[in-house]
Amino acid sequence: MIEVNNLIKKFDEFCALSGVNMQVEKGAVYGLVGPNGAGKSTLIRHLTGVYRPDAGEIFIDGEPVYENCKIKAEISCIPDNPFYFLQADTLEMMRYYKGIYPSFDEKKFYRMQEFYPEIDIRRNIRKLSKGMQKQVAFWLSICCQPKLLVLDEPLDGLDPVMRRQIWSILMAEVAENQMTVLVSSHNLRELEDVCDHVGIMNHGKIILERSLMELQGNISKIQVACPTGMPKLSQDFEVLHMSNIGRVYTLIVKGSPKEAQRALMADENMAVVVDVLPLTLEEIFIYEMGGLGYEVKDILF
Amino acid sequence: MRSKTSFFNKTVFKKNIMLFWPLVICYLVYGIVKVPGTLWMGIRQQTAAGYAQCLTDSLSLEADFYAAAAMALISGMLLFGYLFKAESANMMHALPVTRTELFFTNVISGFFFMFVPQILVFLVTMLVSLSHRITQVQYIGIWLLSVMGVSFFLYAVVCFCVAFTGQLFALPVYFVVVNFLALGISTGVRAVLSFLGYGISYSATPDVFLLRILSPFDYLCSHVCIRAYYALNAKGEYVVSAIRYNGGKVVLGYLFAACILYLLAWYGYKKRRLESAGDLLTFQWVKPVFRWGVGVCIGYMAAALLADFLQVVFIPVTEILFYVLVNLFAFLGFFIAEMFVQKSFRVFTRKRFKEYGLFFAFTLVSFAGLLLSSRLMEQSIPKEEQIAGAYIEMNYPVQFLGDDIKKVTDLQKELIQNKKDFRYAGSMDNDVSVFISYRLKNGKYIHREYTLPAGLEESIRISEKIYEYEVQPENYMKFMVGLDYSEISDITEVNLDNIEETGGYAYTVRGEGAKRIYQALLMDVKAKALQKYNISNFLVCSYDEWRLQYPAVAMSVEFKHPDGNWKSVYDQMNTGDAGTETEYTDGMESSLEVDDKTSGYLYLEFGEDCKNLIQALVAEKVIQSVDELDFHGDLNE
Repeated sequence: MIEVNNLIKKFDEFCALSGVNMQVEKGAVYGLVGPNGAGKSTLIRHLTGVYRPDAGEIFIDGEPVYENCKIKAEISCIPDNPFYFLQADTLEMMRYYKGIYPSFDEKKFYRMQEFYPEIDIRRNIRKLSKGMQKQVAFWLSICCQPKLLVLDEPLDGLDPVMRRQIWSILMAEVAENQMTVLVSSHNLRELEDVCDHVGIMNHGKIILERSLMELQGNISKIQVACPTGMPKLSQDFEVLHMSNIGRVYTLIVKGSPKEAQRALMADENMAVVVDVLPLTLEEIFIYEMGGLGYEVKDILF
Repeated sequence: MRSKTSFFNKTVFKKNIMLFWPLVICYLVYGIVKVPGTLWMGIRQQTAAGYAQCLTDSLSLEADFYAAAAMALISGMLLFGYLFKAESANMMHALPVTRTELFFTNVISGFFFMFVPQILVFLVTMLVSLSHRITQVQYIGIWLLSVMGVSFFLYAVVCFCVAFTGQLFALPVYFVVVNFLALGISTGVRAVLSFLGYGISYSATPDVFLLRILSPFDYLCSHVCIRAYYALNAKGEYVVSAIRYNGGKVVLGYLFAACILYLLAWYGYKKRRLESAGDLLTFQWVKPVFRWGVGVCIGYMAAALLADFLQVVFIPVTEILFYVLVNLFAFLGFFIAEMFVQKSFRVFTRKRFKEYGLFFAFTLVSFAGLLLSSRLMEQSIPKEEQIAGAYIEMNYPVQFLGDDIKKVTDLQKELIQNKKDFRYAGSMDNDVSVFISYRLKNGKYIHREYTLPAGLEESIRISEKIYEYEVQPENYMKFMVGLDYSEISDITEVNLDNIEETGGYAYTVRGEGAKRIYQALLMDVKAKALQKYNISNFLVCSYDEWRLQYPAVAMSVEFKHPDGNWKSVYDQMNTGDAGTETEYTDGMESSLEVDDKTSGYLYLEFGEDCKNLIQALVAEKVIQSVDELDFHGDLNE
């Protein structure tokens, strides 16, 4: 669905994107994470056809996106701070989107009204709360029936119930219509629940791009009770991190968790108890990126 | 659904109308009040004979051009307003609408905002006119086409400016700058040339016609108009004899220019970097142009103002000091411009200083160019065979023709030779200005203005020479009475002030007596007895000293010019000896201004040395003796 090749963008002398490569499959929910200033929003503005690249290529469904109305009609974007026309109410914005997007579904708009009971569609949107404005943005975007939904920090300002509701609506769209979702967020725990692919950006590049399953399958946290000293693993395994509290050692190991467990259990003189624990997305990033020498604290906090 | 045409989007157009319709209403109200409203009010106060004047008053274009400029600017600010904030710019361009569609839809929306009220105003004005049987309604159509044409052009300027800025409030500034930049540059260069050049006054510097065309708003306001021409009717009243429209070709020319501007604006919109929302400038290549432009303008403008101020407080500003001031202010202007571009005070970087080095060299070259130009101008004296007429003016312009022209060129050479002594000497209170003008055979004019400083022997010598020309009877009579002074015989009356017997009240003589007094006056002029009471060389004696030395009383003479076409020495200087062109419309003399050129009026002062005049006054029994004339009346007061 999305293919980005060696994308470069400079703002005067500052290089915002320095050769971004990215692949997103159709129907995927792709999480884009990175520290402030990593270039996430700049990348998103290229994906939505707002910015013209200085170099490189962006293809959506195999076609370039910049000034391509056919492709842009299949993309909907919800920015961090959605813009509405002066004095416009939800109904007027709906009419505007209906006129702009050929696939806009007006019936769906009225059907979805039940999900947003608090929103008065005849009230000036700018007078609604920030959370409600975000809800209107989701509402209108879903009704555009996009093939690609791009979300830039989408859930800031929404209460937990509304967050869950919106994600469930999005997931239903993904399941029903094979909609591709690209979401940029700092909230890794939330992404962990919804994303199947993750890309991490720093200094204008995607430094890691994998499926969540692959990430979780390739790195594990192993706790070892080892009375005789420090546990040892063969060179087949890369130990990213090790810490201990008394005789209980915690190892972050890159490689097959089961084989690592087996290898530790094999040495009877060393390990008494070996447990494999699941890693959160946040922990995976910390140790994975720590290994690459990046300042992970900048990325995650 | 989206429009199928790639240049227009119906949804965006509808959105524009829905959001900004109050603007259309405001403009419509202005138009209704200004045009049919004024016409209707005028008609209520006038008879049918004055209706044509009411029509021309209501169709005066200048105010409508100002309104059109405001409307074009506000429309542009509103319609392209989304470009000036990142959120709105990103949202609008993420939608499936091309930049071309957005641009042209906004352009068409702007036309709608301006043209619809103008057409409605036209229709209402037609109704008002026809209901009052005003037949010259074609001028309402001309008014509409002119206002629409000018609006079309001014909106093109706005769209062009939009392409270059990402800041809402920079747009009106750019709009004004584009409209007046050429005029501003011309004014600045002329001011600097007149400052640097000796004898070159501001009005003496060449006014480049092309630069006036490149200042469109000013040019339109001064060259496009609907005017009324007046003539006397049977009742002796001035009524509109004809209405004329000027500037149709000017509007057409600017319409053509507007089309080019729209294309450039479209290209600019397509190439625009949307990330520049909120920035003063949208294109990278404009930034150095902006820095250098602001630097140069501030440099020369501020230096000229400060130099002017310093001279007012008697601190002479030499060329070197002026150049130092230019550089000081140019440095400030350059870095202030950069602060605006970067939106930061941290602009003193090594890279910028390197650029400033080039800029410094540019200011040096530009200053050297201006200095050289001013030197060439001040040294240039036309050849005698090129000159149709030469003029020297201290109290009034004296004409020199034929071989006498050399007297003027020689005098100018003397003045130029004394530049070093004359330029910074003296004090402004006692200095005397001398004007030298040449009317060339090719129709062009050269004017110079020199200051003769008080207290210098050489300047006094030159001033006495000029004074001697001024007191020549023929020159003086031409100045006092007119070029036709020798043909004047119809003296209507002579009035005399300050006679003791009448208690300081005026005494009037008419008929033959007035003629005799006038002849006596001519004899005193020939004897050079009258001149000294009316003009003086203030370099030799101050005004107070002069008044004490030559106490006088005032008298006035009223007369008729024999050919009914009075012409002064100033007219002679500006148009030569040819008569003033008279315009005829439908067999009736017409003019924009109703000037009476048949009657003449002479006001003068005379004193004890005007023996002929005093004798004539006694002979006509205006006074019994010279003792009745209160020569010291003014001085006593």
